[in-house]
Amino acid sequence: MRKCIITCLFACCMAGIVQAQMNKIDFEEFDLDNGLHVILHQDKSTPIVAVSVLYHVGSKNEEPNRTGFAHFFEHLMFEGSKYVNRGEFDTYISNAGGVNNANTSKDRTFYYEIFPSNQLELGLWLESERMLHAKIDEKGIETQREVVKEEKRQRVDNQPYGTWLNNSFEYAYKEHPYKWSVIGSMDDLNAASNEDFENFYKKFYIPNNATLSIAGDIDIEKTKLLVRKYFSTIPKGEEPSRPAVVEPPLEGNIIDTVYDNISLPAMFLTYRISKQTDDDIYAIQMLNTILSGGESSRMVKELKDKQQLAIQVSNFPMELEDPGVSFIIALPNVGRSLDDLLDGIDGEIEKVQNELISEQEYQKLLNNVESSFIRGNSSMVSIAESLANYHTYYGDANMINTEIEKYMAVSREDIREVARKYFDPANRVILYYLPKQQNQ
Amino acid sequence: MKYIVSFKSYIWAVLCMAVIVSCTPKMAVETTTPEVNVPVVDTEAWRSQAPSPSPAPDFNLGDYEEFALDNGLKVIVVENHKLPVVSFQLFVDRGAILEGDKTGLTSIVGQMLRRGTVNKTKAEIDEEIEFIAATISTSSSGFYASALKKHTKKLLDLATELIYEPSFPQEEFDKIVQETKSGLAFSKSDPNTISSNVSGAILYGKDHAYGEFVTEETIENISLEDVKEFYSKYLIPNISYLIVVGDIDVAEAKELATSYFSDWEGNPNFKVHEPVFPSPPAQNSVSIVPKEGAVQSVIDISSTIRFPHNSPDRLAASVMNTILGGYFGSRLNKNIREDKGYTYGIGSRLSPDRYVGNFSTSASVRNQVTDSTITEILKEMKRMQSEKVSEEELSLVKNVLTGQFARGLESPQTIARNALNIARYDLPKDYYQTYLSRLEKLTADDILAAAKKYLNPNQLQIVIVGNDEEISEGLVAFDGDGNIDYYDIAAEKVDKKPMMSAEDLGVTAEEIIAHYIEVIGGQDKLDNVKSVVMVTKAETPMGNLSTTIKTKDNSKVNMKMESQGMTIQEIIFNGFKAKVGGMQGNQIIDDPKEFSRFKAMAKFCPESDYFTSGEYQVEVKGTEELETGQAYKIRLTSMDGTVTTEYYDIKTGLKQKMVNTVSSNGQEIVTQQLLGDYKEVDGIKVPHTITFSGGGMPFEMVQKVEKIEFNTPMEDSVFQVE
Repeated sequence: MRKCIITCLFACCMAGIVQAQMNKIDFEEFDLDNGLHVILHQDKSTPIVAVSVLYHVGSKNEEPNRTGFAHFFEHLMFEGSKYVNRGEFDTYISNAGGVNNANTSKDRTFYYEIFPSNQLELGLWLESERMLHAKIDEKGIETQREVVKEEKRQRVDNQPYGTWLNNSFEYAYKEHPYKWSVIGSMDDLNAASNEDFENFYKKFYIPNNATLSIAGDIDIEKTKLLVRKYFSTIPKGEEPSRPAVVEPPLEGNIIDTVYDNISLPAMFLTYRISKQTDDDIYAIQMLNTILSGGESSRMVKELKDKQQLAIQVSNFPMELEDPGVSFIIALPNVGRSLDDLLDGIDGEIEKVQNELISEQEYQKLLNNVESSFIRGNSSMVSIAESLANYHTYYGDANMINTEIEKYMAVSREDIREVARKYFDPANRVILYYLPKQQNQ
Repeated sequence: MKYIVSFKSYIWAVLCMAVIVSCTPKMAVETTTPEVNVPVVDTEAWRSQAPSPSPAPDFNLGDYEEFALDNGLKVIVVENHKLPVVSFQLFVDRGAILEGDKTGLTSIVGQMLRRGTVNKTKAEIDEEIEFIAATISTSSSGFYASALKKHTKKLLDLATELIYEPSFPQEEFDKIVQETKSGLAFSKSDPNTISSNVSGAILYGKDHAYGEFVTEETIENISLEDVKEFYSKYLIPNISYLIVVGDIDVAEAKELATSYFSDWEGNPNFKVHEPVFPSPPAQNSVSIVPKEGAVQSVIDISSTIRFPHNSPDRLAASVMNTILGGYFGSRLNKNIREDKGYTYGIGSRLSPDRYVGNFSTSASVRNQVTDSTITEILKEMKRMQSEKVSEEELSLVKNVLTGQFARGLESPQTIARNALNIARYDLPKDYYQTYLSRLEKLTADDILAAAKKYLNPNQLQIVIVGNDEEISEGLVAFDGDGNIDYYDIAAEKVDKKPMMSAEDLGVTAEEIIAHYIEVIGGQDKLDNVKSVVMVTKAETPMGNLSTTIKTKDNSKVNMKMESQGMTIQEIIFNGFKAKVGGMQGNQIIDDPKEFSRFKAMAKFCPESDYFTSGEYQVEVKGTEELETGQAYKIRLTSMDGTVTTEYYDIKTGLKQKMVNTVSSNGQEIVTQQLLGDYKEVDGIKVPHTITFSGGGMPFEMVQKVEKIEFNTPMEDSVFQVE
């Protein structure tokens, strides 16, 4: 399916860490006069092309009384445009043998299509229509409002543990717009007027807030001409404002219990961490891998296999443009208490805070970092997305080639240091999920 | 009783789903309203037209090399130097295996290979694999191993150790058997699993390699010896392929293959089992697997076809199936999902196979549209056979398939898979090289011919898992001889005695309940019961569960459920307030609207009040044949919408079964209780075995009464809620 909210890059974190590549990825980049940033990567090994546009707008750019707008917009952007009739975005793409999708995070919205490479121009036309001519009408707003509500019901409300992420963020932030969920409040969506939508489009769906990233079997010079043809006359907008909220520290534990339609209790711990562009993030990711990356990781081996306290335990950081969070998720084994499991988890964290990880573990960690990095960019669409991300957040698309050095520079001491700095047992959110009691 | 369990991988899948994405289905939309706000920009006339594609690109299909070792192992090498990564796949092409009363053995063998070697425990294997950030998975037909090129030697050392020196530890075997059983218990009530099991058994036969399926009994029959025997019989090089992909050249691959695999001994006498071709039925045949209380039917329509991989018209047949049900815009999906809204998704498959190919289509639909859906499916199949596809639709599907093909080439594993297919199925060497040009040349006549040859709209097995009572009438028309066959979930044919309607019976609900109260001991005896203490035990895959229930004056209850010394759930209700507690924290409920479930628990014989409490609407629904014999069926609808169907044995008058349907968050939750082993306690008959199933519980739970006492003195403090 499509139109996805990436509420978190869980899969990516689970798989290991980040991406990039030993074989250097060459690319060209330039700005159009209207501020659109363009990145082109040529790879002629397969006759396909990925066309993507990243808009630097996510749920954190929303007004507090208009939450869910960024994601809602993603839906509206498939409704049609001046020259693309309602529903025809998809038809054009599938008729051309392509596939497409989009997703929204707290920081950005990302659209992409993958085509046989002779359909490059079609992709550019469709994306330029989206940027220039989006058709936002009553009918589309009404339809998509219902679709989003259904999406929320299906994916959050009716899903066992479906609310954990939203609840955790709500407790972890008091001031920052990260506190509300990407899918947002249905009341806010109901209250929105057409004018609100028009303003949002004008404010964020502008070339100077977007990155067009193209990867695949392309002729660079020809592609430049086509990009100019479709995008250079799109008018520049006003520089969008970014939230400047600085979230105060947590100052203590926040503990709550949620009763849900579930059969097994679960526990969700949230720790506040640095922003993704901070060098600490690399040590934090590696710490997470030590703790629960794989069957032979510390928490899995000790808490799941040996002590049999948990049936599952996992942790992962959620890197964000502003300071983010790191989660630990655990499901106790039947007959084992959440308290014992929490003690077990804290014991493992205490160990990494007090003792350096072994040389053997450190080497394993570097091997894993290297492997993930090399394997990360194996498809054209993942290269296009990484280039756009690196440009948007770090102002340096070449991080796709160099970020590995940041990981390799992390020492065993750095890992101990971030464990001490960010994983404070007296400074976190503890959320218990318990079965709503039912009997027959 | 829902508390316990859940199947852990299920939970994890659900969790991950909640975490990663949320997606929405597409919605059909009409175009009417005028646009409201469009940013004002210079219109450039050329923008109004979609650009045409540039000339089709050349497809450079990666090349591969093939050679064989002296022991018969065939090696395929696909060079791809884009990333410094290599993978080795060992594939034992052992054909179909008839597992018989040990079905499930192959799957267990595959898992066992990863659980220990002569020199290493599972934990040591995990550690070594993860140390080099490699992936190694095993199956009964070999392994898949991948790592960075620089770890190649270590990778092959580990992977070959797994298949040359497995130790098959008993402890790991027991674990796998236990996990498999838990999984089975979980899937037993899943209508999709039932559908695939029973459809397969009907289509191929239960004793056919393609029709047999795993059950608790077949798993019980498997021993560690069987695993060892399977291993030595089937893991041999002369029927195997080694597929090497990645940053490696042919010379290097040859050297590695020779050093790691040439000492592996083969068995030239090995014979592949060749399954027979079961002919499709002479005319359409409808079978139903009754699923009580189901609100959806799972429809599976299939037929066997002779369709080996190297059929000359394979591509035409595959395009034909794509048009019918092979992509989002297919005829079946457009008609049945988009236009009619009967289902969330429907597709069809045309699967080539050396011995028995098959066509199948399946969908889950609401009860009321079960017959309409089948009508539409048959209509679309017949339309494929009678009308030529339009040029427009054909060219669209060609584009869809071209795109799929092109995107697939991005992964070097596709090249490897293609090479393996060419070798295994005796395809022309240039089969994939010529794929696009052959696709381009296909005409509407080719598609029509393929539809006539491979679709058998009059010789289908139509299998429906669903609410027999609500759907069977509409299905008779589809059966060639008008006789619907009935199957149980074990795919055994069952007699379906015709049900009697309520009118035919001439019995009222009041009479059935009065008779029940009479046979269990009579109202007077029941009235004498002022308090009850009952202790039950249940063995579950997650440990033993013990439940103690105390009730007093038919209005107070104290229930405690424990497992391994831990309190899993506790409920205390004093008539005015309830406390619900468990592994963490307590909840006090004082809203009388939520009391009905506690009240029902507190009553020793709720049946006495069915007609006087005003809380239920009760009606007779006829009779039904249960395993225990013919039973009256009564339906109770309570004020809160809960629907309970109860079954009272016609001969004994005893209650045999209860099926409970509750709506929660728009989902129907169906739970079932079987009551058995009635024994007299102080002159009152009480069921001593209660079997629970459904409700998302991953297994059947059999509760046995260990102790039951009436009128034991009981302090009110037992029911104190603070």
